Formats: sequence, structure tokens, C-alpha cells
Amino acid sequence: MAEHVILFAGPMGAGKTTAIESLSEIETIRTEANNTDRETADKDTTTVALDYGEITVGDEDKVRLYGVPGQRRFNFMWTILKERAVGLVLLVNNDAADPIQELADFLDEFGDLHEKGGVVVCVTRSDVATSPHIDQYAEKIREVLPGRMIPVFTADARNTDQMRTCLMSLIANIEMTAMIAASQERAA
Amino acid sequence: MVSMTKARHSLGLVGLSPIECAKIATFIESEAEAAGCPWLVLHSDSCDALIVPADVEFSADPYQVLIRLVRFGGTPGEGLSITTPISARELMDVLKQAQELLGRQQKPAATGSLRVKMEDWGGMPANDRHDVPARDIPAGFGTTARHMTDGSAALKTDPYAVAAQITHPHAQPSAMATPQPVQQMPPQPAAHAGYGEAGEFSAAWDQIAVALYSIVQNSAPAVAEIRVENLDMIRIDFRFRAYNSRIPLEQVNTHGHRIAIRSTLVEAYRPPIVNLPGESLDKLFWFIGSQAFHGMAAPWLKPEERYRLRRWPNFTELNHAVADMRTAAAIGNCYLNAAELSSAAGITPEAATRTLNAYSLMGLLEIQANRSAPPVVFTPPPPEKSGGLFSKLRTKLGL
Ligand SMILES: Nc1nc2c(ncn2[C@@H]2O[C@H](COP(=O)(O)OP(=O)(O)OP(=O)(O)O)[C@@H](O)[C@H]2O)c(=O)[nH]1
Ligand SMILES: [Mg+2]
Repeated sequence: MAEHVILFAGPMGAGKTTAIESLSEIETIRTEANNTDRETADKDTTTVALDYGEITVGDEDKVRLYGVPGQRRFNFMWTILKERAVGLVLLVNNDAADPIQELADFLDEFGDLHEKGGVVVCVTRSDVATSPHIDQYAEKIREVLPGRMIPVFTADARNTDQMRTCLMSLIANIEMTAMIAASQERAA
Repeated sequence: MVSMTKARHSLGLVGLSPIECAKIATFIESEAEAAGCPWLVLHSDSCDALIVPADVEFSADPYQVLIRLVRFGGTPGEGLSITTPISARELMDVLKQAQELLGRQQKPAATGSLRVKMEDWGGMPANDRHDVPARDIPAGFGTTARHMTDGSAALKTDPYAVAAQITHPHAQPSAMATPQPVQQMPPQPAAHAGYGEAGEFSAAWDQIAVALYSIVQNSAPAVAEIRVENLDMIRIDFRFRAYNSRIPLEQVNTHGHRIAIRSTLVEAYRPPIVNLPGESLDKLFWFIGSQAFHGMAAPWLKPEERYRLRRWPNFTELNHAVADMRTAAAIGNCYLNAAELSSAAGITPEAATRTLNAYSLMGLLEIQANRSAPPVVFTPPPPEKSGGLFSKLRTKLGL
């Protein structure tokens, strides 16, 4: 069975746990603890280990969805998961203190996943904070990773359809870049 | 105040002061129809004729008639010109000459009365210039009053029929809040023999698309209303990239109803005419861009050029199909023309063209600077038995 590991990363309160719940076919495994960092995100709980969900496609493929904890003190987990991942869903909540900087920080940390497969950026909670506009995210991506095309969407992590659009776009982009690379190899 | 004319040509005002613009627009409103030379006035450099100050360096396209505005103390050069203070008579005379020149030119088949060109501004699509704050329009009170002129097109059976509406220089943009009823136009012969009902109304959407493209390209703060007869009105505020419409777009039948667009320049500090945040303008442009032009290339796109996405369309807010994601992935990663996009994404050439039309209206495309660059040759790998993960997931999720 082929495994496809997709990571969900982003700042605290971006919606990683929620997004995986929206997409997963199985009951997600949550590792929430009481949130002691109310300043970064004003919510009751925060993920302390991994979120996990999955989508099984036929009996050949399994899409594994991993959410990495948003709190910086769990950084060591990111590295382990990164090696197995083919794609990254980077969630940034638009109501964060400095969402564009968050984007830049996470691209710095996870941007190399773009070489291995692909990255998609989902701007969540844009109903709560209407700015910045997604053009500004696209601008920042061009600055941090010039020459790469990373899809950017506004999305509500609670909305299954929207999260599917993000996931499918990520996969479409991964497959297309692979196809272009293969064509160029054959042409050379 | 509203005069219905059968404008055959568009007149672009480029680099003129607000007062000069207002004067010209007012003269055209009051005199042009009677003088037998109706014009559609737009703030765009993509019109049939252009009025440009004599001291501004400007090169017009071969199809355009350039009229120079010679300000006080200047000397008229060769070609058509008018001098300040602008008089109605002089303006009418020069426009008549421009009309004759244009009449002698051959009209390219299949294009309407408006042609819009897209310049390669250092790889940045003209359409994106709205992102740049208008330099000459300071926000805030106590600044020079900006006069308003507008270019509007009321569209019906005759693709050339346009209503030129000019807002009085001192009118308030709040006039937009009380729209006038759609005017009945006198019956006019169909412009093209064999132009069917459906074709007529689609042509109206073509012109709406051209008008919107030209407004966006213009980058001046503007608002507009698209009125769909018997339905409602779509209200657009370009400053906020937002629109309001009480009717869902899907219900705007692209083949029925009469449609009219009216646009006005507004001072940057004026309150929005839409209830913010409103709907994203991309949604409207995606809809209109996909529907217009019968699946032919938009007049501002050039067949010899290749395009690439600047950013992905925000699909979560657009009415999209799964195939659109593949298409975006293809044109997001390399420069393609419509034919290449069609084969890369596995869609029909018409679907590829419609997609390019929509993306360009949305300002998402950049043009390949190096025109002689070799194309990316797509040799899709031999199809796997069961297809890639994308197609499997698509089936699985029933998308
Ligand atoms: N209003 C609104 N709420 C959202 C949106 N997306 C997610 N949320 C909510 O935001 C909150 C935070 O989501 P979580 O899924 O807990 O965030 P997380 O990324 O897992 O956070 P950590 O585990 O602490 O790193 C939840 O209450 C979600 O329901 C959105 O688009 N709009
Ligand atoms: Mg969580």
C-alpha cells in the first residue's frame, strides 16, 4: 500500500487540528491539553503531540494527515515528520499578531518540502480578521521562495469542502510539477 | 442627463487634468451626438482614439488615432491636435477627423468597438496595476477636488450601441445609490447578419468584460454598476476589490436580459458604495471572464504570448471544478499559451481560452518577457493503470 504523508503546520490556533478533523475519515486522535498560552491564542486547549487523521483510497493508497503542534516548544517533532512527508498544508490564521511574519517563519522551516513535493498555504479565520489580503501572502511567498508557485487560499478549517479544495490543489500541484520535471528530463 | 448614442468609437483620455477630462466629457455629452460623432469616453490608453498632452511622450498603436492637447504656450506639431482652452467646436472638428481616419481603417473581424491592449510592464500585467495606489490622487479632505467623468456602455442587440453617460463634474458619487432605470433604446438593426439571440446577449457580456478590464487597467479609483434588466444590480467598488449583488451570479443568465454598465471615478477618500467586506471581485471576474467572448480569446490577449500565474486563484471562494485545479497547476508552473495549456491540463482548447480570459481579467497573469523562449514540451507520462493520487481521490470523494 502506498502511503502519502501530508503535514499540517502553522502557528498556534491556526486550525490544524480542526482541518484534519474536517478531512479525516477516521475519528481523529487528539492530544489536547489545557492552553496555558492565552496570549498567542485565546482558546481552551492546544495540541501537545500530533494530530492524526487519514483518508484511504481503494486498497492501494492511504493519505496520512499529520498535524504538528503549534507551540514552538515541540519543535523536535517537526524534523521527524518532515522526512516522510510529500506535501505540506501550511495554515496561518489571519487574526494572528503578525500573520505575514508567521508565514515567512514557517516557510523558512518547512519550505524545503516544496522541493520534495508541494506546499499549499491556507489563510484561516479571515472572517475574524479581514486583512491582510491574500495578495500580501502571495507577495511574501515570492519574496521568500522566488520562482516557486505555491497556491494560497482563504479557507475555514471547519469547512470540509474548502479543506478538500486545498488538499486537492496541493496534490494537483505536486503531480503537475512532477510531470513537468519528467518531461524536461526526457527532453534533455 | 443621460444621452443614448450609438457610439462607434472609444476615446481615451490619457494624462489630462481632471478639469480637462471633465470639459471634454461634458462637451461630448452635449454636442457629439448632434454633431454626428458619438464617442464612448474612457480613461484608458487602449481606445480607438486618444487625447494625450503634447508634452507627454507617447506612442500610439497603429490602429489608434492620436490627438494632441496643446496647452497654453505650446506649438502644435504634426497630426491632429486641439488647444487649450478647449472649445466645443474645435473638439468636435478634430473628433470628426478622427472618426474619418478610423472609418478608413479596416476593422478586424470579430472584434467589437473597443479594443484593449495589454502592455508588458516589466512582466507585470497591466491588469495588476490597481495594486499600486494611484499616485496622483491623494487621499483625504482638503485636496484638489477631483472631477468625475465616466465611461459607460449600455448594451443591447447592437454590439456597437453604447450609452455615453457623463456625471456632472460636481456630482457626488452618492448619485450611484439612486440608479436611473434602464433606458429603452430605439430599435436598431442588428450589426451582423445572422447574429442570433444568444449571440447578441453574449456580445453584451463581451463589452462588459472589456469595460471592466479597461477600468481595472486604468488603476484610478472607480466604482461601477452593472444593471441586469428585470433582475438587480451588481455594485462594484474597485478601490476595495469588492462587489455586492442581491442575485447570485449563477442566476445571472448570460444569454438573457439587457445589461448595462456605468462607471464613475471617485475620490479615494469617498465612502465605499458596497457593504464591506462584500464579495471578492475575483468571483465576479471569474464568472464574467469565463462566460464572455464565446470561448474566443479576449481582445487584450495576444495569441503569440505565453502566460503564467502570479498567484493561484482563490478557489475556495470561486465556483470551481476539480479540473480547474489541474489547469492552475499547469499554468502556475510554466509559461503557456492556450493550446499548450489545453494539452498540459487535459482540457479542451476552448476551456483553456476561457480560463485565460478569466485569469487575465482577474489580474492573475504575467506575460513571458522572452518571447522567443522555447515552449515547455509536455509529454505526459504513460497513464498509470489507476491514474495518480489526484484522480483517485477525486473519484473517492465524488468530486
Ligand atoms: N471563525 C473561524 N474559526 C476558525 C476558522 N478556522 C478554524 N477556526 C477555529 O479556530 C480555532 C483554533 O483551531 P485549532 O484547530 O484548535 O488550531 P490548531 O492549529 O490545532 O492550534 P494548536 O493545536 O494550538 O497549535 C478552533 O476553534 C476552530 O474551530 C475560520 O476560518 N474561522
Ligand atoms: Mg491543534
